[in-house]
Amino acid sequence: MPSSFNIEVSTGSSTPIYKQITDQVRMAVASGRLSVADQLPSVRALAEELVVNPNTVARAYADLAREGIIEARQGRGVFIIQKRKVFSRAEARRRLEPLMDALIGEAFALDFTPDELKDAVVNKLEQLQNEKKSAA
Amino acid sequence: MSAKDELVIHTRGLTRYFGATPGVYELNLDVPRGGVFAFLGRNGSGKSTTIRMLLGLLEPTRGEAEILGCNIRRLTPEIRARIGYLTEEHQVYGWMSVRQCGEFQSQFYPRWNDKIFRGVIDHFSLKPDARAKNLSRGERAGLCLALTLAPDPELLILDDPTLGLDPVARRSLVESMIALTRRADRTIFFSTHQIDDLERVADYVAVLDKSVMRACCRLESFRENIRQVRVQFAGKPPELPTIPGLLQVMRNGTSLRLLCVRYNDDTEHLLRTLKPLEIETSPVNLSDCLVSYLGARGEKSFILSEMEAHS
Amino acid sequence: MKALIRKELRENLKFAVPGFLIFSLLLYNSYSAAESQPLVSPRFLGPVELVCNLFGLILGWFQVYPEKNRDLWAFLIHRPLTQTQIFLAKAIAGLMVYCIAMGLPMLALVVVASRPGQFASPFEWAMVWPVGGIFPMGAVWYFAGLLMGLRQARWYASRGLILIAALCIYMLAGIQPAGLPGFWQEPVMIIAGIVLFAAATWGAFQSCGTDEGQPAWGRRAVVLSLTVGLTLLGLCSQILFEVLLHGSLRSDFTYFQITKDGVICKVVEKADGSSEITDLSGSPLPDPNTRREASLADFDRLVAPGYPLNVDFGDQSQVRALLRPDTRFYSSCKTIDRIHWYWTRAGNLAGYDTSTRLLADTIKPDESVAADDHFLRAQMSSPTDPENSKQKSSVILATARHVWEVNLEGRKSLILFTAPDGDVIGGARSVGDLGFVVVTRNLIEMLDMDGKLIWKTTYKSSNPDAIWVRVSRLAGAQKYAVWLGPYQAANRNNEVEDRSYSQVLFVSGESGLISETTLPANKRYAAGLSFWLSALFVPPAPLFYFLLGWKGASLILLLTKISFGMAIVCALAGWWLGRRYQFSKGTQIKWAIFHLLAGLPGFIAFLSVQEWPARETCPHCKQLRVVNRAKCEHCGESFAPAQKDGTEIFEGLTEDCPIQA
Repeated sequence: MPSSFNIEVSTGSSTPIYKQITDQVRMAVASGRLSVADQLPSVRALAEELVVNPNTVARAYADLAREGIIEARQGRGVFIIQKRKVFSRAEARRRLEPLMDALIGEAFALDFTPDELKDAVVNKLEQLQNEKKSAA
Repeated sequence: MSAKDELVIHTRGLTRYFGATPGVYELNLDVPRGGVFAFLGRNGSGKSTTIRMLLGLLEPTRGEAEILGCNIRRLTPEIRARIGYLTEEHQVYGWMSVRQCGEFQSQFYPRWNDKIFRGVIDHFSLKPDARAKNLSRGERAGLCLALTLAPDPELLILDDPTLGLDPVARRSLVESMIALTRRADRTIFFSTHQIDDLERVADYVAVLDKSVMRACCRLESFRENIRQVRVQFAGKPPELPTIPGLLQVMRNGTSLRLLCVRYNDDTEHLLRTLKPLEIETSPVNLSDCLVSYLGARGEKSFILSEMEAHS
Repeated sequence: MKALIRKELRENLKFAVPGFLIFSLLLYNSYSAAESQPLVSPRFLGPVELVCNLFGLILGWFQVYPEKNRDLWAFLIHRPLTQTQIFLAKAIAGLMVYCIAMGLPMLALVVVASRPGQFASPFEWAMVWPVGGIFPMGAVWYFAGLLMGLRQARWYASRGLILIAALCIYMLAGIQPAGLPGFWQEPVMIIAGIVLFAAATWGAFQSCGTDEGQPAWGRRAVVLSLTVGLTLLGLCSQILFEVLLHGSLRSDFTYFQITKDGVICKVVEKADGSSEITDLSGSPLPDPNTRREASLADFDRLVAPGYPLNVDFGDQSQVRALLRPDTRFYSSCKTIDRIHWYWTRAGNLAGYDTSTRLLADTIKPDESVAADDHFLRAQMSSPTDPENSKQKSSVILATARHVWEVNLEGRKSLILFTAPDGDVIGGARSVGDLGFVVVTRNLIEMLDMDGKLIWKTTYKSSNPDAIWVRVSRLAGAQKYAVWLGPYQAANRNNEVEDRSYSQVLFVSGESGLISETTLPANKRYAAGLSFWLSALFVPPAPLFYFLLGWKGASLILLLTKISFGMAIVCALAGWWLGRRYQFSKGTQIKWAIFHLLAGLPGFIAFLSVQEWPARETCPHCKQLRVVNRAKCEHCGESFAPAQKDGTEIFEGLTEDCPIQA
């Protein structure tokens, strides 16, 4: 696994552990910390590192595989693969909707103005772009 | 191979009375081979009683049970050799040293693996010549774990193994449990109050409530079946009708917070009849799930706010 | 299993070592203080018995009790051994410790005692039997201790009862009811005790100390142990009742005596300490000095000196003598010139030098006597306060045919009297320094120390085998009163009257038999309320046994009737309980038979050991049903599963979750 990427899980959260793993991998792929052909630890190795049940890790990997983010190659390991476009544009937009609601709602609650929010989003995207460039 | 062969523990109507009160009532428990099975319940709900019955240390009042296919009332030495049992008090003979404990125990088990014993001893940083009565609780737990794991048991039964352990010892214990799952035919059955450890390590969970089993399923199913529902009202929230699967309800000013099992459209429909402003559901963390599931059903209020209100 | 034995040995070392040391110290102490053979002396055997039994009990208790902590017990039981093997490992280790701690010192003492020059007394290998009986008794106490430590006491007394049961078995091994051959009782009781407690302990191991889940034989053994304990308690309850009702244990004690003037008096010592002394017509005896009624102390001055004899033509005395271990083998005689003389089973007098402790000399007065044959019939007495130095060192010895005077100093024996042809001597003793009395089947004679006849008389004895004889010396020249009484066996069948002496013969040197008086009979102890109440607590079975042996004893018969009546009540109560709690027919019948034999103690033991399941209302047929059966005994319905409250989560556990590499 690339040295810059570490999965961390915490107990006692509303998010189940397997979901924390999938979210973090997904986030890492999206932000470029993980790129195609990077290797993830085996189920057992990750389980022992995180001190969680291997079945939990296995379920996370299964979900990621179903979404097309990772692939298990027999005898060699688990690798990031090209994220295939599984969703239609409309479906993708529909999936994004609640997250946008959450973001905007939270921002207004914190007294951000719409302009401030837009600035923050743009800054974040730039930051990710830079990180991707430096990682490549 | 039928499904029954894959059950390491199988009980039908297992019951134990203490005087006129049932300690365990009509327990139908099936524990499949492989994986980690957690056994939960409040103190006095019957967990230890069940485990002692399964190991032939206590006679059931009625009912049948089999462990590794053998009737619990007639456990043979051969079956006992394949079951490891770790008690919550981690009792050993105090006058023996760590090494002597190992030597003593190894003579009973044909499949004793000394590498495992030494491995666990090292993992817990125990000195071989230390007397057992001079060990701390955590060190004794490590010693007992070593004695239990070294015979390479198929089924490991742990009765509240992390009770009273410091965080380092607890973590070592959980790591050992995960290491045991390397082999698919090994099963762990444990009872605990530590929800964090449970979340990390359990595949399945069974919950005992006042001698009766109320849940037996995969851990994720358990979580997914419990949801928190926040119902917002304009004014004071009205009285609730009987809601199926309701665990707890708390009143907070103008809103109600409900914890429900199997919240579905019918339940939502029922809530809508109260004419709320808003209904919002969200998942619950495991700790809240269990506390509400194990606690008393029905309406809850904050004790402290009551005290404030009266003063 | 060997590993377990080794671990047990190591753990119990802390008892073995002190026990060994204390016991060795005790034995060494006795060894250095002993004058005669310690192996048969009751003063030595008493403490030895106490130490052995106490050690066994403590060892058994501490081998199990500290391990009774729930989780430590689980650590012991949950291993690939059957519970029987675990029990055997503990028992073997415990018995080994016992043998080492108690057995080795005893063995050492036996070896030392067997060598000449250690003790100034005879030794034969048969003398090992008394300690041979004490040593295994400790094993009975060991198993009792093991059982006590193991049992989960549901009520405090159930542990104490086992202790009492062990005590009962210990007492039964030592007590000799008439009719049982003395020697076999002890080994039989020891074996019975070991089997009983070991079986009960084995059963307790199978069920981890509880009463439920015990195998049948274990449960039977426990019930029997508790019954035995309760029986002893029941017997002791008579004493308790007595004390509660009357405030003391004594009853009136009546006996006869004769004054120097030849007046026969009846003395009644009452329970409150006072006494009543009357003559045979009933009037109180005046004190000649004070003219008032004589007190007991005054009376003692008036009493004529008496010389009792144990007269025995049969085997009664053999049985009596076996009670004391030393008299089984020898009778101690006199010490003359630093030589202590014994009459031994070999039919001779053996003298041991008290300084070198070696055998000095033997005297065999009667060459025709076979060894052991007349051992116990040889009775000895010594002339008292003799001025004649010759008499100081002589001893009167009676065998079946002759009375001897044996001079221990000169090693010479002299026949003083020979029984007439066809007659047999039953006993003889010296009367002060005036001479000796000899009793044969037909005659009672008194001769002086040279063998000259003083007086003789015939007599009639109601019991051919044994009589009590006492000779009282009256004032006046050669005037004597001879008391005769039937032996204990005759009294047994006669439960109204209790005769110690039944007649008095007045004899004198000049005229022989002068007169004869028959003494009135004493009333036997009248059974009071406490006696009948305690009958309720005694099981019928032993009473049936006594009834067979003591034919015609109506007191025993009444006792048995009361006890059996109680047993029937218990059997009925037990039957009712069995129906209520759904015992099987076979179990009911077995318990009914047990209750008829064991009475109230057995019933109490039954109540304590049997499992009494709770009862609940069956929702189907609305009757109370026991909870330890799957189906209702009235309507056949199974138990309802637990009430659901809508929050149950049961989902299949068989979904697969693929685990990747």
